[in-house]
Amino acid sequence: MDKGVGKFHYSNSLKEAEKEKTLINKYLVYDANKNQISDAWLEYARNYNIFDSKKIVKDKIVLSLNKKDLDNIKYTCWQAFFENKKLSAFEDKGIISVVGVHKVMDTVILKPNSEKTFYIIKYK
Amino acid sequence: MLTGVGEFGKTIIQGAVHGIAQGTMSMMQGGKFLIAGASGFFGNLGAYGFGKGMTNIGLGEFAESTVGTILSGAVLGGAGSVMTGGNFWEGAVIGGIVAGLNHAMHKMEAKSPKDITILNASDGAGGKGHSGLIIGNDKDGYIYIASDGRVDSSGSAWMGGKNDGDIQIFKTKQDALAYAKTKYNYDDSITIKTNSKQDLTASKRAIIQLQSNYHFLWNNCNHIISAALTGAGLSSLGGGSIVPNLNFLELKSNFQKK
Repeated sequence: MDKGVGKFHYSNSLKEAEKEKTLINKYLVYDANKNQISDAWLEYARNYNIFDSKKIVKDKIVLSLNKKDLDNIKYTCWQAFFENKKLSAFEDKGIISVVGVHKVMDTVILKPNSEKTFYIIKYK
Repeated sequence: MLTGVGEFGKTIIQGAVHGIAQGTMSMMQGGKFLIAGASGFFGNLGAYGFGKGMTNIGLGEFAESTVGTILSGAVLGGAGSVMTGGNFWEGAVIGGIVAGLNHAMHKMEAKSPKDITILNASDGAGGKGHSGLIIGNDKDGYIYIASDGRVDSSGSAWMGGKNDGDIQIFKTKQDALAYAKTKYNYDDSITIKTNSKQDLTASKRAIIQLQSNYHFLWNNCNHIISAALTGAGLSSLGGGSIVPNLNFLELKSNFQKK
């Protein structure tokens, strides 16, 4: 695949973020019944120059998780919150990403609709 | 199963079935039955009308294509969603999926104008720039459209290969911009006031352009912007350069003069 010079790339899994050395912190994903259902990863973006050399972009940070782990939710507009602050969340190619997360945020709330809530908690 | 009814009658029934199916699916996903149901119904009905209309003007082949089918269904699906109070683009996507499973459309009218915002990342493509597009308003939601290069190298080393198209739907412009900025360092933009007809033709032309193979000279991210502006009848703003940064500067300059 053409990486696209200048385009930011993110990992599709926690393992990939570790391998790419872009991982900032691991998070655990819980449902409303406090069952851990998945993990998530806070990472820096990476991009590539025309010689395919990787650069880690430290001012682009995204918290990501795999949608397939979340109760078969097919189509929705995701909403995310830290305390009372609304964060931007979206889905792209099976990965849910939350923008505006900082390293100090220990619990991010993710809502696909009014009934369901997921808690993304920083792994100490 | 559908014997004894006319072709249009069959379409109505199929539309209703798809509407119920989409509505049920949406409800299972926590969405509103009526919004998704209407999108599915109108998307299906749209696909039928589109096929007829395009055949009448000698473009039946295009109407039968996947792109034609999905596009037409998507646009009328969007209308169905708006009529029931949903996000226009959300409905368009659901409607498009339904039409893709069935057949083809007609034309629609969404009453509320949506602005067209052209984004530019000056450091994209090694300093040549990269452009993306956001169309929408706070009532109907926003759609982000961009060509991010190509997904394979089926053409030559520099040309050809399927376009790496990026189409995403958001409730707010803030979310659309937040998404766009995770993809590229967008550092400048212009927002053009349009009417509802321009919005639809712009988004349709941009999405059609996105379906054709990538070419770094003749079908890059710039051409998605040009297609949208041409669709909106705004080609007088310019945008003839193949270099995104130059293209954007020309558009911005002409836009400011107006």
